[in-house]
Amino acid sequence: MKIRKFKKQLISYLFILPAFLILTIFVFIPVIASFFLSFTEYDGISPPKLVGFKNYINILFNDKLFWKAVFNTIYYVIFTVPLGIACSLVVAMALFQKIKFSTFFRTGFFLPTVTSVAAISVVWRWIYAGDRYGLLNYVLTKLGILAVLQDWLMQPSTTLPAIILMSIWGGIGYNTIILLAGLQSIPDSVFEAAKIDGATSWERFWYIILPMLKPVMIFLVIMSTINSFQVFEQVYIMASTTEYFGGVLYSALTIVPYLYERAFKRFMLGYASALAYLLFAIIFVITLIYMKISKFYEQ
Amino acid sequence: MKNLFCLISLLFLIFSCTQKEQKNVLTLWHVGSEEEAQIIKSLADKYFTPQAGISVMCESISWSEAHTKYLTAIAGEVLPDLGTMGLTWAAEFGHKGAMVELSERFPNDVKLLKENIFSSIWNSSEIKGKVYGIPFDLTVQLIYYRKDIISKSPQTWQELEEVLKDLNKQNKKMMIVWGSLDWIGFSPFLWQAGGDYYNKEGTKSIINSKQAQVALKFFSDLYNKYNVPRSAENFGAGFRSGEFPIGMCGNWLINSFPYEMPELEGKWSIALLPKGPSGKRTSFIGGRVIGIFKTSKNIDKAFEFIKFLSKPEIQKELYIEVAKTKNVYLPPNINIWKELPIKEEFRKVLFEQIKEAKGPPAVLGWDDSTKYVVEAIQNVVVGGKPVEEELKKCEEKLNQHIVK
Repeated sequence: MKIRKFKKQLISYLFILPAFLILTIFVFIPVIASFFLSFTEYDGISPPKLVGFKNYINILFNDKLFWKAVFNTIYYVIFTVPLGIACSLVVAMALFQKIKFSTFFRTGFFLPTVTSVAAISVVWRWIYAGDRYGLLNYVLTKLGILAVLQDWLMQPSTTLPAIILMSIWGGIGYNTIILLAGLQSIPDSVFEAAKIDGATSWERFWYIILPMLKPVMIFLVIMSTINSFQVFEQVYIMASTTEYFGGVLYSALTIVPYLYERAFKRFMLGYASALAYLLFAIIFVITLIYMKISKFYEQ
Repeated sequence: MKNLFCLISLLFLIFSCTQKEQKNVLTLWHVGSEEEAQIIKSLADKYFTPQAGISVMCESISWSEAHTKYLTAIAGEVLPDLGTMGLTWAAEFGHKGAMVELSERFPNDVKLLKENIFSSIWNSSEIKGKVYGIPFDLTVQLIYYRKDIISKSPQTWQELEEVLKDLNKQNKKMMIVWGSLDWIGFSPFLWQAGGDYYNKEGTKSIINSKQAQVALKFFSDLYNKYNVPRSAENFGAGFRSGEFPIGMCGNWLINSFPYEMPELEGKWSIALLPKGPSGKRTSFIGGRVIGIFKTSKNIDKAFEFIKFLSKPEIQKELYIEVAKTKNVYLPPNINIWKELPIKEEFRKVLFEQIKEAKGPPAVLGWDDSTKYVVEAIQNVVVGGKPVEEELKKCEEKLNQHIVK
C-alpha cells in the first residue's frame, strides 16, 4: 500500500523535478551564494575573502552614492506607483463603460506592456532628445508651451521625472487589464441595487466600486512597488553612457543600476551582493507595512 | 545493429574533428562590428593560415558589453586565445594575471613592433615597462567643420571663442560629440592648457593645477557661455543642416559623411584641434589593442598572428576593406600611412594629430578613477560648483586609487 502510494507520488515528483531543478540552479543557489558573498570581498578572479559585516557597514555609513540611489528610488516609487495606478483606474473606468471600439482601446493601452522595456526606452530617448531633434521639444515649442529648448535627459532636474513619466505610460496597460478584470467581477446585482437606492454615479464609484476593487488594488500596489524598486532598464538605457552611470551627476541613479555598476562594471561582487540584500530588506519591510495597513482596514 | 554502428562511427568522427579543431584554431574575440570581424577572418584565411598552418576564428563582441564579458570570461576561465580590447584593458586584465606579458615572453619582437607604432598610442598600452597588448588600431579626436560656414578652422582657443560667438549670433553651435560632459571630451583641453592627470612617473595625481583650472573653466564656458549642447546626438543631421557647423569628434565619420551627405562634397573638412595656452594641440587618442590570454594553448602561434596583423601591408588592406563598409580603420603602424588610399587633405591632418595626441593615462587604477574626473567635470559644468574645490577633491580621489 505504502509502496503504491510512493509510486504515485514519485510520478508527481518527476513532473515537478525539471522546474525545481531550473529554479534551484538559477534562483535558489545564486540567492544563497550571494548571501554568503555579501560577507566577503570578491572580484570574481581571486578567491573571496571573508570580511564580516564590512560591506554592509560601508554601504550604510560611508557610501553617499548608495543613499543618493535610495533617495532616487523612493522618489521614483512615490510618483510611479500612485500616479500609475490612478491613471490606470481612469482608463479602466472608461473602458468599463462599454464604449465603442473598447477592444481596440484595450489592445492599444496594453501594447506597451508586451513591448520590451529596452525597446521603449530607446524610443523615448529620442522623444526626450535635446534641441530641435527631440519630439517632445518639437511638440511643446510648436504649441508654444516651451520657450527654451530642453535637454530632458541631460539635466539633473528633469532626468528622473522624464523616466517616471515614461514608466507610468508603460505600466498603464498591465494595471488597466487587472483593474478591468476586477471591475467585471463586481456582480451586476450590486449596481442595480445601488441604482434603485438612488446612488449617484460618484457615490457608486466611491462606495461600491472602490471597496470592491480593494483586493485587486492591494495586489497592484504591492506588485508595482516591488517592480518600481527594481527599476533598471530605463535608467541603464536612457541615462547612462560608457563613461557615467545613472544620468548627469547621478540624477537618475537608482538602486539596481547602482548594484549592476558595482557588480558588473567594477566587479565588486561582495559589495554588490550586500546591496542586493539591503534592497531585499527594503522591499520586504515595505511589503510588510502594506500588509499591516490593508489588514487594519479590513477590521 | 547497422544503425548503431553508423551512429557510433559518426559520433567518433565528430569527436575526432572537434579534438583536431581545438588544436588548430586560434579564437579571437574582436571588440567591434561583425563586419570587421569578418574582414579580419578573411585576411587570416587568405594570408595567415596557409603559411602558419593554423586557422583563425573571429567573433565580434559589442563595445558596450565587452569589458563585462571579458571579466566574466576571465573569472570563468572560458577565454579565447586572443582578444582585441580597449586601450587600457590589457594592462588591467594583465594585472589580474589573465594575460601573457608580451614584453617578457617576446622582448625582441615587442621592441621591433614598438619602433613602428605611433608613440602616442603606444604610451597608453605600456605600463611601467610591461606590455600586455599591441595596438591594433587607433581613433583620434578631430575638428570637423563646414568650410562654407566657417572660412578657416580655429587655430587657438581665442579663435575658437570668436568663431563660437559668431555662430551663436546666427543661432548655430558647436558640438562635442566624443566625450561630451566626460573626461574624454575634457582631456584635450587639459593637455592643451599644459596640465595632466598624473605626474610623469604615474605615482601622484597633479589634476589640481593652475593649468587644469584654466582648462576646466574653458570647458565649462563652452557649455554655459557658448551653448554647446550636453547630449551629443544628431551631429550628422546638425552638421548637414548647418546648425552644428563645427564639432569635435573621433575620426570615425570621415568615410561615412561622404555617403550620407554627398551634396556637401568639398564643403566640409577636418582640422587639427586649436592650440591651448601651452601652444600644444594635444588631442585624445583611443583605440584597441590585441593581446593573448594566458589560458591559450597556442601562445606562440597567437603572437605570430599579432605580428601578422601589425604588418604594414595587412594594415593597409584592413583600411581598404573597412572603408568599403563606410567605416574607418586607422593603422597604428607609421610606415604605411603614406600609402593609404585616403584624401591627401585628411591624411595630413590625421597624421599630424595622431602625432600630437595622448591616450588615457598609463596608470593602474585609472579605470576606477575616471568617474571622479567625470564627477568633477559635471559638478562644474552642470552643477555650477567652483572649479578649484572640485579639482582638489578629484586629486585626492585619484591619489587614493593609484594601484602601487
